[in-house]
Amino acid sequence: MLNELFQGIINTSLAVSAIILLVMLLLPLLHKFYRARVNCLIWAIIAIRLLIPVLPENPPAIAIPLDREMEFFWQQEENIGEIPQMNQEHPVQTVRTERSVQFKSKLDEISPFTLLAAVWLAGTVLFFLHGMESYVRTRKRLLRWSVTIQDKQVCGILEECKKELGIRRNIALYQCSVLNTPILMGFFSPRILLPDVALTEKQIRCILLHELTHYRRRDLWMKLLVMTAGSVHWFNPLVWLMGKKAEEDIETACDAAVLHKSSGAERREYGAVILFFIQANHHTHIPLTTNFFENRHQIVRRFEKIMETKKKHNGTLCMALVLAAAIGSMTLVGFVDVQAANAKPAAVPENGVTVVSKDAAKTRQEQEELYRKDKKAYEAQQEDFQKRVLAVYDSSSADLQAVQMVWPAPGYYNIRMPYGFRYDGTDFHVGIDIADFLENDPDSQEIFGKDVVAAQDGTVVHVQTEYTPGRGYGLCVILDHGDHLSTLYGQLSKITVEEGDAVKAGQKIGEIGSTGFSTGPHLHFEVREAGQAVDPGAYLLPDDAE
Amino acid sequence: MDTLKRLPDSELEVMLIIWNGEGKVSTSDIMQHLKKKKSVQLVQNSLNRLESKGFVKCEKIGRLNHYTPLVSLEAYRSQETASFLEKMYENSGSKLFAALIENNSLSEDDLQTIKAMLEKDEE
Repeated sequence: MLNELFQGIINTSLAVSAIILLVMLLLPLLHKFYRARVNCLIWAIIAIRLLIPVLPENPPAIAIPLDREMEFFWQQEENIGEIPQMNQEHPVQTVRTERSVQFKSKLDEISPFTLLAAVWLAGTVLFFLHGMESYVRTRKRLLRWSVTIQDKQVCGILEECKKELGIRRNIALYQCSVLNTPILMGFFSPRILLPDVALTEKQIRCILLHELTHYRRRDLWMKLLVMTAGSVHWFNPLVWLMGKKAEEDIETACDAAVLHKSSGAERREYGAVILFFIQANHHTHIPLTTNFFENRHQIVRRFEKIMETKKKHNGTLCMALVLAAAIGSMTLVGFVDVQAANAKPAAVPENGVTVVSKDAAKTRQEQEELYRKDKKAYEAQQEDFQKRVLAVYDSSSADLQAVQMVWPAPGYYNIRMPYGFRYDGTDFHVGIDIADFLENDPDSQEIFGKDVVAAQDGTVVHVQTEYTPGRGYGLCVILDHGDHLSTLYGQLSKITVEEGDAVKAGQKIGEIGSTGFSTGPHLHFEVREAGQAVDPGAYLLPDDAE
Repeated sequence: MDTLKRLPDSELEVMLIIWNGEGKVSTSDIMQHLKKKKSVQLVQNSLNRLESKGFVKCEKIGRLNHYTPLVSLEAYRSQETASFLEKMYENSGSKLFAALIENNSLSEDDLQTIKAMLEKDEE
């Protein structure tokens, strides 16, 4: 779940980064031709989009390569390379080693991706909590130093401004002796705080209009939205940059809204008020410590815009485009998914019994994908396989009619190694290994020499009678069942058929052994669709379980 | 006086009202300026504590107590709020306020540019 969410966030981050970059590049043009409000809305659309992860139902557009832990050449079946011959005299001992390695790797398996996802979640929570905490603390501190303003004149101006902007809500007015700039604060009970300096009536009017406009436009909520998007995408510098730009645009848009019908003289007055506060602060600041992203010019730009009287466009088309891009970025990822799904090897013959389960048979790619994306689900699926095998074959009520293949080692249902990754993901096991239950009797060699039967009607197309001990399939048989479907039986001790023989399902073809790359008697069984090994589970278990 | 005690919220509120008023402030003035209504007794307690801490001087004029600050707002504030604003603007928390101006360091050049801009339009 966490992995999927993280993947979704990464996909979103990447897709939206492209949009942010584009908007950033076009920003000078946007500022020139459109009202600042347009930019704010564009940022809002992007911020909302950032908070909707594209959940990866299907393979993601961008796959994250994972660092496999060190290569692990302890054993590799069907592999070239010198592997010491196993001591056939003490197979049990070696089998135990193999098992313990398997257990160990299961415990160690916290994939790097899950780790990254956890780091991301922790970062998100930290950034968000930090933001909220410092807000609450600052707010408390400011209120501590605030006194309600009861001056009739100032309250009168507030009422006038509220009327002008059509605000009915009660907005508290305070004088705060630790502030150096007027601010609006409070999401649920809005208050305007004025600094403790002597102000003229006109100045107060400008300030109140500005802050009330912020209130009317719900700018604080917009800031919260941007901050939340920034916390979720804390690893993406573009999102941070966007936050910075959005804040700037919120301020500019507010100025523009206050001044939208104002004359040059009124604009000058408004500009003078802002300049007044800037100058009042001028000497109190530590210069440059927080001065990143060209704050300096930002203020000059703000004044330019305050004095600008040029008419600008509403930018409906412009916003529609960004909205389309934001929605498009979701479907784009989906589109790639569909393609990837279509690209699945099409080894599907038109007729024949095998068609039914084709879709259910997992290919190596699918297994690898699942392993990469969601290791928990992968492991669950692997464990589930053993349970389902036992459920189907170990009970008397089993409906074997629904199963397409005959179990190749009748009476033995312990899956020593399922289809999929083994040795901590360093090797992919292309078949299933069927062996004894070691729990019952660790020294049991009982399975040795037991019958191996054909899984389906077919023809013997390959019989391998020569092998190198410790390497490959050992003695092995391959049956062709038509429809591009074939099965392989490896590690046999004896083969009882010859190339070209026709065999019936359930007919004995050999005996279980420990030849080739093996540490104890077992049957290595593979199902191949058009030569590609797939998960035999789909053929050995009834369909309805899917 | 070397160090001033940090006042709890309730006392600071009262103290701010006294600082805010000019000269002597009566108890009833204080009652009017409170953010939230409180009982006279609570306010009187705060005032008594402020007096004992040496923040105010009490005078009885007529029937009402009148208070004059003995410590200046600046003296107390500078002690408690050193670097408060810098912190506030650096913190991401400040993103959730709508301030009239952001914390910008402005060069002399910028200042002149802005002034010129405001004056140029005057013709």
